[in-house]
Amino acid sequence: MPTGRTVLTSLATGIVCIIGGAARADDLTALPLDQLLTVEIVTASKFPQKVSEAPSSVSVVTADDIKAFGYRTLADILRGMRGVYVSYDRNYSYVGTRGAGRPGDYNSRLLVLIDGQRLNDSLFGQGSVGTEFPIDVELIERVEYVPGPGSAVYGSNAFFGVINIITRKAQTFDGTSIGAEAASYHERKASLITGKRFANGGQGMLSISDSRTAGIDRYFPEYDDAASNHGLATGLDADRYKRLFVKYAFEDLTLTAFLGDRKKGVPTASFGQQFNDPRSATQDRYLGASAVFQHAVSTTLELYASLNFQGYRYIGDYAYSPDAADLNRDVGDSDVVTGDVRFLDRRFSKQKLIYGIEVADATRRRQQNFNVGASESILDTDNPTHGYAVYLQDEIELGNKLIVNVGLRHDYGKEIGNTNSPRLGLIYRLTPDITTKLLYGTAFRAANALENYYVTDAGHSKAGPGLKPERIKTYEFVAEYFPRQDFRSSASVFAYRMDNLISLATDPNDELLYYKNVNKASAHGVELEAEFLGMDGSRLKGSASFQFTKDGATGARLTNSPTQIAKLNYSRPLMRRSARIGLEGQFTGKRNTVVGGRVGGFSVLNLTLSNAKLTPNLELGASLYNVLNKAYSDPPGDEHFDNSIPPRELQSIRQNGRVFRVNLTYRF
Amino acid sequence: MSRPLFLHASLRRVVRHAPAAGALLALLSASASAQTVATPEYALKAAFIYNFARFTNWGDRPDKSLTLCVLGRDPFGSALDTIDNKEVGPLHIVVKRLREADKAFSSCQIVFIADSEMDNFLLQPEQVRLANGVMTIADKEGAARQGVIVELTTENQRVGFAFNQQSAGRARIEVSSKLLRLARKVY
Repeated sequence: MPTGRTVLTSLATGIVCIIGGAARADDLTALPLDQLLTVEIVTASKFPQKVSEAPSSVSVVTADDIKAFGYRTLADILRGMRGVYVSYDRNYSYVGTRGAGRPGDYNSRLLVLIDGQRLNDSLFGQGSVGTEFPIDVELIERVEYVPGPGSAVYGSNAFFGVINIITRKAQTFDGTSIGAEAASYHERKASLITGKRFANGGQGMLSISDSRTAGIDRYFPEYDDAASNHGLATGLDADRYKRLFVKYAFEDLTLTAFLGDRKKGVPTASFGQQFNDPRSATQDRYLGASAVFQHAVSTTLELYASLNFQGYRYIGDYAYSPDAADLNRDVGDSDVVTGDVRFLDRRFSKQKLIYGIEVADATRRRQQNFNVGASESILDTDNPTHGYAVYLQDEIELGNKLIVNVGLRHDYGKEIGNTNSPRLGLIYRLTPDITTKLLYGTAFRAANALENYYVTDAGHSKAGPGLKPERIKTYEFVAEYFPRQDFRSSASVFAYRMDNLISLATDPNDELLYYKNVNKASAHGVELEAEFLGMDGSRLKGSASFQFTKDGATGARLTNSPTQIAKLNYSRPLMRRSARIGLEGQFTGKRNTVVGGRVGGFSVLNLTLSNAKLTPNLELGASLYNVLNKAYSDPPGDEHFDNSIPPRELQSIRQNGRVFRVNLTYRF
Repeated sequence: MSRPLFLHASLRRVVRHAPAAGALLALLSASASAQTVATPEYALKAAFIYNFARFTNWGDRPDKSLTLCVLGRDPFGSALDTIDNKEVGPLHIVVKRLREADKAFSSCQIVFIADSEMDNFLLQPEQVRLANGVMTIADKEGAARQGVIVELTTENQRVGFAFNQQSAGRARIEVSSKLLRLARKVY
């Protein structure tokens, strides 16, 4: 056991070691040219190009960032982005952006794309970002997040934003690597990635991984009494997932398939369960397969064609009473086949046209509910649907300072009928260093199968009137100042107006629950960001955002809507070597909860060492998350209550304290 | 509880957490000292550019200056300051940073085309791209193949360069054979 003094000394020595060794005075110009060719460099960081002309304010997290800050899930990656906050209810992770994030909505107002293919299923429209997201972060090349409506290009669910996960090219995997990871809360993960170049010039890769976290016994003060194990949920925070990913690229064709299967214990007694029942669990399984063909038809015409299958299965086990015979199971199945043909057309000078057609056939949208072991079913409904969409986008350069970006998508769906989503962007280069953008966007979210068809007597629910899609209209002004290759900054002001939001309501006549287009809401705010690249390979990025939201009916601030969010990310090579150290700070302001309370604001500090080569083949990474062991909570949705009479509602959901993680990768 | 007591408690907490952080930092420094020191990319690239200037025949320049211009967003930071005013035979280097292509190609002898200007550069007519007596340098991948005279390339954490002899010929840039010998690729 080290004493306080030796510990402080070793801490200080470490810091001095890291800060020292930065400058080297010898004059490189004195070296002859043939020697310069042998000098080892630390590569300077670079900003991704061409972001300035996009009709949006994109945030990008690259594979380097993922490593440098020790991100382990898509949720971690999003937490590092400007203006984004993620709540975790110890089962699913809910993304909030620009002050809007509804706990319990399964991110159905956020479109998640894997290499341009939709992950949101056709039942709940769920945009998975936690451990249920089926792709390992090691396979990600970059994540692009576009806040604001994206329906003009992508259709339904692109309501608050679009997250596109671009996986690494098959060509970047050569040879085999084995990874092993261990972390606090008894987490263990093993993974294998292998890549191979075939004789025909094709390139393939395969990745498998298995992770299990036993978790710890979580304490819920709301459930603290002698009959409820004093509020301790024993062994119910376990999280286990298995994943498989394969990719094969040959000339213009890329084939991708993935499988992700996660099982998570539910410690919160959600939806009125018996607290601390070991049977409470959910399972999320994804199966995706896609073929993408990209071909230059001529020098001015590019074709993109894809065929995609996406299967999603959800199984939820709900223990409403301690009775062994009384375990309720919820099963959802979604199978969707999507075809997309798109052209990028530059035949007209100073214009970039994108047009395409998309056809989607949800062949299965089945929801079942039954008691395990019982023969009769409580719910069994299958509501296949189909739809198509046509879209057009034109980027027109007027003079050499103004770009006009117009887009329109027309969606037809069996349930939603016809919907148009227009957008308009004006991009003006004020000076070579300052670009300004004025953006108008619209989006919709079609009511999902749960809202439309999940009707049971036991759940005291009934079918509501025909649900219209939720709508959003937004205005945004962006200014980007990019004076030097190593510095850029941006400011954005936005105003959102949401209408027809779908909520659960109770009919006063029969006391039954049903979904209804009721709510209106609005949000406005400011986002500021600056990023600096140091000559020594260091990167510094900071952002602050302020957002104000209003519920149209009550005039009050929306729930789960912090007024302030701030992020700070700093990383640098360790004494000019491949190893890197990353420090991340995140602040989220206080938030109101749906149950009428409030969770406090909090700051979290994470520290990561990455890319440390122990031998030429063996690489070490280590992270300390929540370094200061800050105790903080996320606001729960309204489904976290137990089976007591009256039900006890969770006021807040406690998050992890300090977590240590170490991972080793061996390549051969 | 009084404030000093509270302070004391939080200090104790820091000390309690320090072993893990200390161990991590010790691990860092251990892994770091096992490896050799590397040089910042653009400090090295500045030295390369200085050498390109030395291995080129600039003829007789009455003003005795050799103007090196960075066109677009400067990726060098302060790295070019190390070669500003440095002597190349009878000439001395003058570093300038410019945003307009026509000005760069009419007033500079060496033009480094930053990433931000590459697309624009390639759209220029040949008499601008290969202006008489102007050595163009870029570090965007494929630059030499696309007609830039010298491309700084990075491979396996080492900097090298590719040379486009055809472009050099048209721009009447005469370099020593040693430079050509050390190029990773000659077009």
